[in-house]
Amino acid sequence: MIIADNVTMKFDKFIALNHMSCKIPEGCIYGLVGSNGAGKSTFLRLISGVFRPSSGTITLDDDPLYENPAAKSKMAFVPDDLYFLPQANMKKMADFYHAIYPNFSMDRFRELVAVFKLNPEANLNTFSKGMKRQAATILALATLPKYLYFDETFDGLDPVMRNVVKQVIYNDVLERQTTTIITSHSLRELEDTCDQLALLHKGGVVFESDIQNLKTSMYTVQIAFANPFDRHVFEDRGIELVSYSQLGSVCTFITKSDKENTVSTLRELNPLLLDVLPLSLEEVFVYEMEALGYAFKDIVE
Amino acid sequence: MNKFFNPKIYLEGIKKIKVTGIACSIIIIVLNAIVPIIYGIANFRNTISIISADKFAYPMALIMFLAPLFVLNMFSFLNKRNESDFYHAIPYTRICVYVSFMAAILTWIWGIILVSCAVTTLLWQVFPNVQLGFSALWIIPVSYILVTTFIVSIMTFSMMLTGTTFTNLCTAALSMFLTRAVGMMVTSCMSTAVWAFDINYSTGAFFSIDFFLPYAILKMLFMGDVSNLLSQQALYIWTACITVVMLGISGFLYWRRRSEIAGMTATSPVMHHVIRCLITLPFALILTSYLISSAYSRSNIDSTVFILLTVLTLLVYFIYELVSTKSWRKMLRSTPLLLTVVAGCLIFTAGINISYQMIVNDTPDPEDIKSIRIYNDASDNTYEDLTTRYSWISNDEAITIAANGLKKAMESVKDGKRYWNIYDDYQTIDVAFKTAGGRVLGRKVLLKREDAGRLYQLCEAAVTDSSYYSVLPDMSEINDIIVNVQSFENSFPDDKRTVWLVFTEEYKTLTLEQKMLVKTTPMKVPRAYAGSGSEAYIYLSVSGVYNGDYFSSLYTVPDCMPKTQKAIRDLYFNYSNEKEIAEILAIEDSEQVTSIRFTCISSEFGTVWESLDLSVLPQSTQDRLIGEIKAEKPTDGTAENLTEMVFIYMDGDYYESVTVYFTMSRDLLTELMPYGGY
Repeated sequence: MIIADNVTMKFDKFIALNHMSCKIPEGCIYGLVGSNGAGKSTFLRLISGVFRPSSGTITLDDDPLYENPAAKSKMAFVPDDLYFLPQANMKKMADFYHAIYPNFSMDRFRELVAVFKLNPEANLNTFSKGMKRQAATILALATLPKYLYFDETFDGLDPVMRNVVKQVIYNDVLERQTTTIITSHSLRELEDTCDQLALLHKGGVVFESDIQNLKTSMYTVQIAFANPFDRHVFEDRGIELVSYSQLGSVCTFITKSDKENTVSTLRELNPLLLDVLPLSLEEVFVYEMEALGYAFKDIVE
Repeated sequence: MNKFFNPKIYLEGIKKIKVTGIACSIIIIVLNAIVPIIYGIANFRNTISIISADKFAYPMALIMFLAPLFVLNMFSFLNKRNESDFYHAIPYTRICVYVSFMAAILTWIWGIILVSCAVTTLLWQVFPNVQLGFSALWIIPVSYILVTTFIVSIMTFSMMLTGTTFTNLCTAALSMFLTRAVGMMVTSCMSTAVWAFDINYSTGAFFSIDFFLPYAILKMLFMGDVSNLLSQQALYIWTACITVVMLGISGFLYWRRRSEIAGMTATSPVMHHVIRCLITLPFALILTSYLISSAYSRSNIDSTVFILLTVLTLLVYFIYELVSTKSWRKMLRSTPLLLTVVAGCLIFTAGINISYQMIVNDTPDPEDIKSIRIYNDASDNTYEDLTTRYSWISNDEAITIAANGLKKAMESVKDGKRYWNIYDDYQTIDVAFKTAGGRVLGRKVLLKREDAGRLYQLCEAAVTDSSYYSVLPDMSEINDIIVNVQSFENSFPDDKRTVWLVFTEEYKTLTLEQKMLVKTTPMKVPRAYAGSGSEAYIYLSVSGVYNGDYFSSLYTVPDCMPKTQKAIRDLYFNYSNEKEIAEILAIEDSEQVTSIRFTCISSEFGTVWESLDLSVLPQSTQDRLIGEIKAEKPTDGTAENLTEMVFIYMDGDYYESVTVYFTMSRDLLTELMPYGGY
């Protein structure tokens, strides 16, 4: 488990992370969403031991992280700005990783190279941006990490490769309980990948939740009656309205109330039309953030 | 172990800089290998010659300039954000990465030096007419290993402080030369302000540029001054200490360094300003020194020089800011901080002025002086001068003369007078004062000529015969021994040492009168051929270093030292002539021989050296000469008229020479003398 406790990271006068706290449980895929400059990359660099926090503590499995080789050997980090040795090919990089990372598996490397269909003998300089990202992902996964960090990983990947990468990550999580942290400025990118999501804004976590709960916690109801009605019809029956709009005899509202009870209550009202629709993650976020007093558009693309 | 060093990281470090390493290896090893090959081929027919440190492998000096490339290459990741993050994320402590990478750098550099020395040594050995000097074998690898490690430490230190290649290099140059530059300015200003103050005596030559190993090595190469390197143990110790400290600080900076500094000019904005100001400071100090020197020497300030130096200083300041930040706005915004440089110059000026006041007013009275000694910076001191004549004395009269001379000197300094154009009837002497408080001052004292003579007389009188004539240089203090003739200067180092040991043992058995004879240097070198009539003698010339001062002493080897004379003869006789004789006989046409130079040690005539024109020698004399060269040497070493003879002849369009050592009969020597000349 990764625990960040009241972490602040300053770059001279600029505060990248401001008293940030979060807990990332083992074996989950944790998404970090936020606009540019929200502190996502800084957080990843902090939990990979590249940066030392200006204040606060970060622990990995209860051990301090900074300057702790044992803790660092459990993780692999695929940054947004990739680095490969000069004039290296994947084979050379694998040799390098093999020397540096104690758990690096050549078998896993060869296996992944076959999955991604990359030429390990080709100079990495000849690779496209997406291919380089695949190569970095392969190398990171071949270290058999317990913790795996991806910074803007899906940038530059075509949809097919994006799915392949996601599938490989899922396999690792399933087989080896790898804790994966993925950052993105696009919520849609992480919606179907992560177990948990945190929203970063101006160096702090403004919202953190389990995605499945989040998605099922709210839903849209579309309902129509023959007689005139207003929102009180629902509120009087204990249905909590997050948003409400009405056009003539048809209204649409979003509620967080228990789905089964709500539907049962609404059926008793003999509506002309009753539809219950799930919300997209983005819609859930919009409403949750608005409830917290944030304008979602300011935080996420 | 894993915390401080990791073999895998070390091997990755070796691989990381292998391109630089291989390229440098080729350059250094090949260039050094060419030196003995070319020398050996060009001098194949010449007499045996010794290769001293300066000639041994001079292209090795390139390694001093190539060493920073290893550091730049190895730690280049500190200048790029993504690389920096990558290396900071690997599962090793920073100290482990630093130590392992540093070990890789030093392995390459030290390896290149040692392999190159080994290859070069082997190649020198290929040529029979070449002998390696004992000093070359250790001074080259030791000096270069130390100097390159020193340069590596400086370069690493600068890379830890800054985050771009430009600032890396500027800071390295700053770290390397700032103290030297300030030292030179201090020396320059103080020597102008107080000509009677010997800064080198007071600071143990710390401010001298000689006390800088890279310079000392270059001086050895370009001026052939090996003795400076050989004698200055303090220089090696100082350089080693600085190197260790700089490597330690660099390790600490690496440990503390934040990855995000990559690509930034310095570890912090404050550090950036400090570096910029320090880079400008030496240039500003040149201007300041010029102004200070003009003020103290009461000379006019040349406005052109003043403007040029001012513009140069400003250019350095602003161009550094512009190139490092690539921002005109930042360049302009840095202007107020130029006052920091001005403040530095003011502090320097104040320091010089305070030093000036302290020195000119530091004229102890005779009763406060415990002892004095005359010392001389000139390089013609003898060993006896350094050990006895210039030793400390407590004679009251001498102390009073010296103390008054010091007062006189400082008065003239205060008056702004220069001794060389005002005091015709005065002279200066370098005198060291030891005060009752234990301080030691090195000053030039200004004395009337009769007082100066008296001071010398008193110092001489303090030297007892027993002390003067009992000292001889120890082998460890000797750099070179010249046995009798110039042509032997660089030959037979081991045999010459044997001669010296025989000489010192035999010297101990001599009476005082005999010792006086040994240490009395004749006024001129005698010549024994017709008309000279001077006294003949055999001599040993010994040079070396005593307590950091150079000496050169000449000792005659009179007849009362038969063992030494025999050892010198053995020195000549130990040399085999076979190859050379064959070569002389192979010169088919004697017309090819343009001249002959020979040196002969004769008990009857002393040392004789002549230049002969072979064509004027009668054929019978030529035949006799060849016959005596071919003759067997006496095995008992008692033969007289030991001769070194150099034949110079034409081989195609080139002059060649061949040298033989043989015993010349008295008759032949007498016969040859009339044909000799300069």
